[in-house]
Amino acid sequence: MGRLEVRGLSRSYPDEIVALADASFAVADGRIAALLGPSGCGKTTALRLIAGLDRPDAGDVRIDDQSVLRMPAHRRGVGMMFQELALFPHLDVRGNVAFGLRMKRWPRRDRDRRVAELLELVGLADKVRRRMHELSGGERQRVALARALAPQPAVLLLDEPLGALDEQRKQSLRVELRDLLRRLETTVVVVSHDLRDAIVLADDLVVMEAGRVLQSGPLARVLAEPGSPRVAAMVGYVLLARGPVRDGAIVEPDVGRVAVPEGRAGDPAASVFAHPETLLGVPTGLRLGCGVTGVVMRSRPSGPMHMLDVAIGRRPVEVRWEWDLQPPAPASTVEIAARPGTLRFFGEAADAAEDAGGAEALLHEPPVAGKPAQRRALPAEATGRAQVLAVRAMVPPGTHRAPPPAMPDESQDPGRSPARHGAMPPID
Amino acid sequence: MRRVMRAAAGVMAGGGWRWGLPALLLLAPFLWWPLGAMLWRGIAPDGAPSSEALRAVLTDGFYWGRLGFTLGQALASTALALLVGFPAAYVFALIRFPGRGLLLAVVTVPFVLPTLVVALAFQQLLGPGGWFNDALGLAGLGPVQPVGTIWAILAAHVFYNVSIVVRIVSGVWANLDPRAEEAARLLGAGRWRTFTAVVLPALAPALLSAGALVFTFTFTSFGVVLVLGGPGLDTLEVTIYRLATRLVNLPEAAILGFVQLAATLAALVVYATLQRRLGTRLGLRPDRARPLGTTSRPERALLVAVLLGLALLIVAPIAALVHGALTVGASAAVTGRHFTAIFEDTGRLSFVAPLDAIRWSLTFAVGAMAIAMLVGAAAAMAIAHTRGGIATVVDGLLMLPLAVPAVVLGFGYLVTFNRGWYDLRGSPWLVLAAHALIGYPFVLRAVLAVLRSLDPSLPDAARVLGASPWRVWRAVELPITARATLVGAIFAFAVSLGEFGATSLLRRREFATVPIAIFDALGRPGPANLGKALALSTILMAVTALAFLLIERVRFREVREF
Repeated sequence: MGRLEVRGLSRSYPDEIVALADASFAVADGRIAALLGPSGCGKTTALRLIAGLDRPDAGDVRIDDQSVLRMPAHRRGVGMMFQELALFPHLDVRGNVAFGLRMKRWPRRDRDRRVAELLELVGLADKVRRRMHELSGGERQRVALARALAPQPAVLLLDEPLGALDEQRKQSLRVELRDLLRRLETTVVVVSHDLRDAIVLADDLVVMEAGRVLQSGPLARVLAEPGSPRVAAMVGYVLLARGPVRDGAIVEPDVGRVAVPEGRAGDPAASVFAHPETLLGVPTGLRLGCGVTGVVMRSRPSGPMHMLDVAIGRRPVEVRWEWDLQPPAPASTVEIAARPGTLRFFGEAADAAEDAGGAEALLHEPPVAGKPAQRRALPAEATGRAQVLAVRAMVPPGTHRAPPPAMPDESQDPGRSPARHGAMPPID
Repeated sequence: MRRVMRAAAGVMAGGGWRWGLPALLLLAPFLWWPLGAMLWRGIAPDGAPSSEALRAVLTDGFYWGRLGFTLGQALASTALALLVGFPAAYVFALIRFPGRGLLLAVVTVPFVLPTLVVALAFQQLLGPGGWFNDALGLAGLGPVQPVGTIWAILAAHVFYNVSIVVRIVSGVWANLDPRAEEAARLLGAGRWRTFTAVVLPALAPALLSAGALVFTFTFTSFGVVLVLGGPGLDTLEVTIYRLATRLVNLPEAAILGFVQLAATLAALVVYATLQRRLGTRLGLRPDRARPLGTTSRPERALLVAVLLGLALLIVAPIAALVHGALTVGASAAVTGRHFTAIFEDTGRLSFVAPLDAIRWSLTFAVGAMAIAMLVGAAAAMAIAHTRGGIATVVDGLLMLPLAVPAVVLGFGYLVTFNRGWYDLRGSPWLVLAAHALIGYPFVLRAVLAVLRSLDPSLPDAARVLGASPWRVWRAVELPITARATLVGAIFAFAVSLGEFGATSLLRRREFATVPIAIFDALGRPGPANLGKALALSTILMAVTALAFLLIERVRFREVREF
């Protein structure tokens, strides 16, 4: 039981590598938080600092509103499951699980009872005497979990708990791990680079990049309302359009124009993101799309329907095709429609649209400190606590709105309909 | 300056420096200081720096000759050991024949035998009336006299070191991925081309590594050369011994000592570098040896030839030694009187009573083993827990004893502990210190190999689970390295029992060891003395071989390093 709070934690290493820069987040008692981010973003460093295996240059780690910074690792009462598990090869399953209890000098009787209880919990009661090399990958992982849980830590840290497993194993163990953690009611911090782990395991999400916390908050909220283009991209959104705002719409050549909500109309430039699950391909000319068009690269059957691989600008996006029509041929153009209320708009600096590769850089390039594209993506507030900057599209679901003013630029494809977000035909 | 600060911080942060303290207590007075004193003796013969001794050594053809001989015999021995060991490595790596494990252990036995014992065995085998000449006589060839020539020395060196080549090379070979060879064959390479273009380059580091180790041992060869060599056939080690025992030209001996040290250091750096590279590969692939039934006819012929050759090379000298101990000066076919004489000899007519020598040998061996175990295990922790650039320095300083030839160490003691309150001439403590220092690297290396192969987050895991730094060691590192410590300790015990180089310079009749008693008996006339030397050698051989078999039982199967 414990509320964990990390305040302004920083740590850099001798080779001038900044592993963690002013990171802050909090996990309420009994909740499961996932630290999500690409490898090398400082997640593991954060765990090591929380566990006391390393000292921060600045900042504080607090458990139940008490700073634990002065406590050495072995008195901090934090449990940790290591990425490579770090099981003791010279001990059997029982010895590994009992290790922490032995260190805390639990009486033998209590120790045995606790070990039996935990092995029952993780389903290894019949493998008590096995050595580590006699266990499968999944079993080893469960031993590591039981070992970390045994001394009843106030906070449990899991470093890539599913990292070492193959894809198939991962799926079943992810669910297994979730059920287990739910039963425990312990405060848990899970580190992962895989969004799917976070979605299945976590209550709260902390999105990290280059040693900074970009956004944190309840999982559903971060997924629904990413606070910045970077976070949007990291939680699975795709960029629909990015460019200067003219006459209340984002204009991107070869892509189209998307009307911005009223609050954004004054921005010099903006970008709009959508989650692929909310996107549909729509035949052109029906004026059903959100204003963005794409070129079909290929279509493939998916159950009774089809999926389209579409290039929006030069960005590949996968959309569903739910019409009773044959899917469009490669190289033909489709409009993109989004489920009402799911487009996410972000303000951009004025030069956003000018550099052609900017959009790709925003999404795909590894972060480099001092790079303009990144500074734009990281407003100062976003480095602190949860900041929801997304502005919802202000259209009630299912309503059709009067078409926005006609596009001034008539040189565009005449078959293209004016932008309309939230417009989507009902699906049977 | 910042670098220094950071390095110092690295040492302190790792907590490794505490583990270095025992090593500091042993190495500072008994290694660094004597070596420093020896160097000072060389560059400042009369207390003030002068290049006199250095110039004397450099301009004297005598020393150049000794250096040339030392280098030449070491290179020849290394080449021969590689030549003999290579086919044997092939057989052990790639053919699964009955008794393979046992034979590999037997091949390794010579490695742990005391040099004096080996020298004596070859003297018996190759000397006049030895089995070698008997065999030549059967073939109608005239008697030859290899003892006192380079050939006897080379034979003994090959006997000694072939096991190094076999173990290192076959260990790597057995783990080479056979798919690389299969790919080469599919790409059109014939058998020979596959061997030269794929297998040999992959084995090159192992061959070089084994070669560097053999070179180190043969370059500093002492006991073998002292007994089997003849006029003019002195290695640097023997030259230092002769200069030191006659107490002449100590500054020049000191210079020679440093030449020795530089050569062994260089060879060991090569060895360590290559081993590190090999270490990543060991154990990657399972044993690829094929069952005997699937081998080709030439391969089986090679197997038979290798087994016969090894039997002759290894069994013949050992058997000749035992045979000699049982027959020298005997009226009947076999006599046990040389063994019973050991218990009756009071030492009145010789340097030392054999029973006293046995008692002192055991005392030194047990003491050296205990010290080596404690200091070696702690030093391994110090090295393993030191991070950053300073690690190399710590590593080098603590590993130094491995590179110091025994005679140089003894000589260093002679020129250091000779005055004032630290006048320890004639004290058994110096012998104990020397034996502990010579045994300590065996423990250090065995433990360090295990520590380095450990997942670095194991100690972290223990800490998070509530173990204080001390308990991390007690509950995790100590039990995991216990077997390696034991292996190293038994090695240290065996090496101390057979130690001759340093002891020969520090010897006194009050605390003479068994090798000293053997050497003394060898220098006295008559079959009774020869018989005594042979009987003591046989006992020494039996004890060290036994210790070795113990090691083989304890040793992790995957550790194939010396």
